[in-house]
Amino acid sequence: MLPPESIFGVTPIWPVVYSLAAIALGLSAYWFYRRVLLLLLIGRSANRVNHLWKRLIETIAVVFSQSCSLRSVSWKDRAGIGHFFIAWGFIAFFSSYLLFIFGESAYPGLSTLLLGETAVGRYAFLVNSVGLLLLGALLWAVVRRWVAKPPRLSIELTQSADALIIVALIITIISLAFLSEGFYLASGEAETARGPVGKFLAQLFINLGLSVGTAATLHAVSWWIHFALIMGFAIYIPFSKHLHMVISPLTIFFRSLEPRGSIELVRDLETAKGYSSTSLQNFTWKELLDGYACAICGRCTNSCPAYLSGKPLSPMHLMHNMKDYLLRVGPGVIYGSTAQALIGDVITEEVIWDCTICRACQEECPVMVEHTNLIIDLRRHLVEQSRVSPNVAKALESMRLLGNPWEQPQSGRLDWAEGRRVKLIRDKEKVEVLYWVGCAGAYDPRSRDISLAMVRLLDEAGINYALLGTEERCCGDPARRMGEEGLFQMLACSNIEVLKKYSFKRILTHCPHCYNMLKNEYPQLGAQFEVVHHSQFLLELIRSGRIKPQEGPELRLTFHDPCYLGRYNGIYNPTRQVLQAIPKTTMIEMKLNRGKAMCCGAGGGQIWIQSEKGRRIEDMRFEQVQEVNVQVVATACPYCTIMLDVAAKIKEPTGRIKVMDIAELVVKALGQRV
Amino acid sequence: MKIIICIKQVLDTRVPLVVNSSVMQKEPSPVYIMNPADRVALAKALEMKVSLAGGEITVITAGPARAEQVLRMALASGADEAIHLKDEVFEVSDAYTTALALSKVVKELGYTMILCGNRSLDIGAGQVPAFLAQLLGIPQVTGVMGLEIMSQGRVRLWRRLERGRRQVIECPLPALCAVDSSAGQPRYVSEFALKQTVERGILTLMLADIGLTQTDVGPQSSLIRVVSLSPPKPRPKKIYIPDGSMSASQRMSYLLSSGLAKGKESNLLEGTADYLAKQVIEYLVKEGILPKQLAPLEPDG
Repeated sequence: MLPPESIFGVTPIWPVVYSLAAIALGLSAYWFYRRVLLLLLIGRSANRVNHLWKRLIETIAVVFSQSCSLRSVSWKDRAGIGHFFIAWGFIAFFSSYLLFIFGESAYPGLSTLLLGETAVGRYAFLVNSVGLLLLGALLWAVVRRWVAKPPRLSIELTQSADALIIVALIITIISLAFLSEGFYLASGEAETARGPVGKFLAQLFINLGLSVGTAATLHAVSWWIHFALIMGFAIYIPFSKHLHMVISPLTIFFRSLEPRGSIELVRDLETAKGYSSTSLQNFTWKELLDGYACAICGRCTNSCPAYLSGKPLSPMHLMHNMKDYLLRVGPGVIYGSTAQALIGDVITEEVIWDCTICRACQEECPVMVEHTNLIIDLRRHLVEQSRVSPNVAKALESMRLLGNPWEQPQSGRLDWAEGRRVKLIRDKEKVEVLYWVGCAGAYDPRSRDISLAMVRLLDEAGINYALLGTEERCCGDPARRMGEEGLFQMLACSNIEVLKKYSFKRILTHCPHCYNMLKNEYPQLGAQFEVVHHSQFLLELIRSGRIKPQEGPELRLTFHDPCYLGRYNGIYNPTRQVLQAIPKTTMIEMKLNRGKAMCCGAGGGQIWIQSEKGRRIEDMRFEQVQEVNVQVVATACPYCTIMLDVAAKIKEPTGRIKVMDIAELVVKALGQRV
Repeated sequence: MKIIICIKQVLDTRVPLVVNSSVMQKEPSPVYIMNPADRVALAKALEMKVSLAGGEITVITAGPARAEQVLRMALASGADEAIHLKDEVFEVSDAYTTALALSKVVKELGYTMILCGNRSLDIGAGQVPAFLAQLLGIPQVTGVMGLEIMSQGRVRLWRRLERGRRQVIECPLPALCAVDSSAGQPRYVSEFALKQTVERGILTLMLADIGLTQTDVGPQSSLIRVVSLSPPKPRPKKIYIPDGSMSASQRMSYLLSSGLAKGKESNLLEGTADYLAKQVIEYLVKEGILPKQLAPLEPDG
């Protein structure tokens, strides 16, 4: 793809190349500034600039290894491999442009001078082959998107004109690069051929009887069109979703380094006041940036339980609408004019409340967009503006007044243990384990069985443990994820105050929501505790032989991964190992398991929000259980147990499939009744 | 437009109450809330303020020191001013003496309209609004579901009758409206909003400020006397009886799922196309969706 040496044999080419490039890149930069940077400055600050070296190194690693897009490759969705070639094709071509276009046009022979004859040959060969792979991957992408149409590429927006323009442009540019090289070689430089494609094309042109003069002209013509298209592409990028090429390294760079899924703490009342009006200034620049990184690949939406169950929420459209709103309204904000409302006109309240904050979208997103943080932030706006449904208001007020979302009195927190000798920490000097029961485990009739099973196991293993009893209050997870940050802080602070009074080694809980809160989010308020989930704890007890599951009847079971245990905390194995420690159990995985497991529909306060549209998520999940032939679906979260149990009662009224917590299964394996 | 809302702090009934012979005993950690009907009245007033694009909302409570909490909540909801008529004796006041004290404050303030909750969650006699209207000599409307300010100083009100029926009435202002708790949604108040009210002042009045003494509002002046209180009778346990029209398998699943797997048994029709079409039309006519005179559909030829 060497440039012609001169224009019509008169003018040297480099001044033209450089000035055209300066104009194109200048325009591109100008629009990038107008359409991105300037608008991002509207947002409030976000604490994402710590650990710069760590961020830089990891970003480089992710971009060059393409681990983000390769991670989501599965047998059914292999597009990530295509992206790998497209990305590397891009990197290869970009570097070759620097050398061959900008270098060679100014100083012919520069590449040889810099790299040496053989290295240039190898480099050209490499670019040639990568170019072929790139073309192949692009054609594959075209077939996938416009012919094969897999589910995630059938979602609205994915087949936009923008997508077509980008693919067509890249295909044309690469083809022209090859053609131009072919013409160049055919015009008498055939012996210097280094790339196989150029060589092949040159041979073809010579065989077709192309004269040397015509080839030289065609070389110049194709090269200039090619160059013009590249410059055009540079100008087009700020207007297209291909901006993700520039922005996604930034979203990866500025990603949250906090534990997965943890939410920004609102530290002062002044920030809190900002939520009482929904304007762009009240979103962080990172939230505004995320929309630009989205390449409309559909992975998030295609994994979203709300979308799949027919609710209006689609994480991809949420990000897209946010970016669209920023582009339309942002300039007005800067220049002081009023505009349409974000919530209501652009993003409906329904969409905001549909989310279960299960993090499936973020697990899938190759460019590390943080959908759930944005949703929680939008909920904060709704809460501060009193725009909440009666269901939400009831749950939140119950948490504030009664200390739990179930509208039960605090004095009844130990009712589940009636008739059992449970020890309270206020009566004890020092304990090894503080068993945090959680609100579900204390009040919900189904979940109380889990607490009883846990107490059985703790007694059986002879653990020195105690409960907080009526001193325990809601951990604040539902409040925080429903956007009631102030209530979360109130509950968390009161819990921290109580916990700090007592002496214990670690906190044990069977609720992944409490686990996630105590372990990952209480540290934001300055409280570090050692927290252990009951799956990890039971595994310890089984491994150390303090609990010995006995042989029982054969049991075929599957495991439903709770979102806040799996995707949030990466605990996938302990739960399965506990189940496998029970003799004669056969574990059968569901189609969607581990990181891809579908939410039960209760997270993020959804158990109280109860979105009405579409199907019930727990029904859909239970149908996936029914697909595998099992007697028991085990889980390790009270919410999941409640939701799946309700679905089971409707879908399997004969009780063929039971929903059980791992603790209940272990108790059963001890030959005891709960 | 000056709207006054009388609010009351009541015990949260979700927390079990210990009922003795004559007093509602508070359990060790009582939870107090703003009376739900009063909250709805406040929400209505706030709506009215938005639709009228103006007006001033003042909330008043007569109660002990802890009642300040509900005033803060009202301020956080959007009330403009809060007045606390503070005295421990209000714990044992009856409806008449409470209304008497409130009337003294309200008279001083001046008002276009007074809103109250129709009934309180704890005692629920619904008498304070009536006494207050009488003492002020203004019209009183109970069970208000909706209200709209008319021209010439009149207000139009929608009253709740039984079975969803509504009575629309008008009366001259100033008037007192006792708002039904089902008239709307109370406004949610966030924790941050509550915290922000700390900076806001609450006007505290003592009995002496309104020319009354503890005897005037205490049990000595009460018109009624509580003789006894009794705890509720135990609730009968719910058992699930399936609908007779269900199929055997449906009944089985209904019973086994404790009533959850109800299905849509009453909506499921089976039969020929003709029969089904007739049933659908009958249903639509019965529901008033189709007019009754609709000519029966006859198949062509």
